[in-house]
Amino acid sequence: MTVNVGDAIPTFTRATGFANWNRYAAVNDEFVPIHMDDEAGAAAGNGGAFGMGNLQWAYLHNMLRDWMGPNGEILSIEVQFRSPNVKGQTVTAHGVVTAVEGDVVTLDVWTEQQEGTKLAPGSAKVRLAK
Amino acid sequence: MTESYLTEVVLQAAGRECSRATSYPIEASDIRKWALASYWPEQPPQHFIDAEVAPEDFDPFAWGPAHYESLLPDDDGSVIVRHGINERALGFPDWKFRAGLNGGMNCTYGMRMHVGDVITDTKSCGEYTERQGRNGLMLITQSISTWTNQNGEVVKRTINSGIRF
Amino acid sequence: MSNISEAMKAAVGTVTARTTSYPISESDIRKWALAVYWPDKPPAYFIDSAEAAKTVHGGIVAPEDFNPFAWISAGHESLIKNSLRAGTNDPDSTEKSLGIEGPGLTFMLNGGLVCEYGVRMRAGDVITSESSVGEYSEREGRLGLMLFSRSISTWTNQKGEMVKRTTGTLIRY
Repeated sequence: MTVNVGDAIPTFTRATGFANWNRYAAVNDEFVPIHMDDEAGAAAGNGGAFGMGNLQWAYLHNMLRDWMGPNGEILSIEVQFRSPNVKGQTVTAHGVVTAVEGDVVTLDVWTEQQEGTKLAPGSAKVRLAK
Repeated sequence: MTESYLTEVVLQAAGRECSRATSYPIEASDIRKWALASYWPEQPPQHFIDAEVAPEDFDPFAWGPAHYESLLPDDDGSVIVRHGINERALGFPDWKFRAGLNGGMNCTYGMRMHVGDVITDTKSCGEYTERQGRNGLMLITQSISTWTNQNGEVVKRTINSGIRF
Repeated sequence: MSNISEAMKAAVGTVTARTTSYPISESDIRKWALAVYWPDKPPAYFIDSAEAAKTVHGGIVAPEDFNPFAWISAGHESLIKNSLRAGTNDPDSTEKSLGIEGPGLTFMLNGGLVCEYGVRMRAGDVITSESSVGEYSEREGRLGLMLFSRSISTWTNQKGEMVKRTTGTLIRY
């Protein structure tokens, strides 16, 4: 795989809502009212229930993993949660290469909703498979 | 006006095995989390945390079976009916009903489920009957789900009844 | 002039809590993968051991973001003695929980989280998470002298290999 600075890697997209959030809650025991109940989400100032930051985090990992394949390595990642993932949004994880040093690649990564508003921007460092 | 739903095909299907699903091996973590969820917000009994035995209502097929096969030769695989009977593949008439209701469940337990068990669920067609009611002629369906463990011991037998009209 | 006292320097490296997971099961890994890839199917190497055997890992490994502490942990111990009572909104709560004086700064903000990965988690692994006090540093900024303090969560497996290290930074001024 040849990787150059500026390359965009394949994205990872999900239509989001209770179908995804409830499944994530089930595996991560993350049954928080703001993620389960529209009233609680609205009271927190988000119009309704909204998705877990941890699931945005997972989508970024899925994107990196699907791009590299099982033999690649995620070395480090950091993300900020800027905007909530509200019900009905289509969330897409993106990654753009910012540096290449041998087999170690640094990327800007982020999730955004269907209109392009960034939800969770950050950066990651990976090691590509030999 | 329907005279009877109980055609020869429907009557003869009683007792026929329709599908077989096999679970992944049950793990301690599955039992522990099931108990935590079903006793929430109280603590479940310690023997469930220690996963000595699974709760009777534990479902080893949650999130999907390891393997599923239809046992009906006429099943083209276009519809996978994991939670009931594939009536189309049994050659049942293409009934048009206004409503369908869950008529209830009747469950008999045998051997308990334990860590390491692999459960097989065989679904078979039960007896279909009919009855005249306020809504006209009602069809009463039965599907039977038999769970056995890897030693062939029956774990549970469930009869699901449905009412359609 | 510095806000980093000798007592704060001495506290760096203190382990404040330790949590141990139950052994990870293949079922946990499979369900985690099913949930985070929903509604599409996850890669077969998270579900099928024959597929997983073809990877460099030689078997099923958990997704990097997998949490072995979900629902219940097998053990937890708090290792702090002599802690002073402090609310979480108290900028000095970190130091007070260690039983030492804080710098007494007024404002604080979240400086973010960085996560580094080591060896992968597998079925049968027992993960231990240790929370510890990270380095202090300071820097002159727009808001005056800013204090950076770090809290570190280190996950290791039963062989003592590092699985994941998460560093959180708190900024005070």
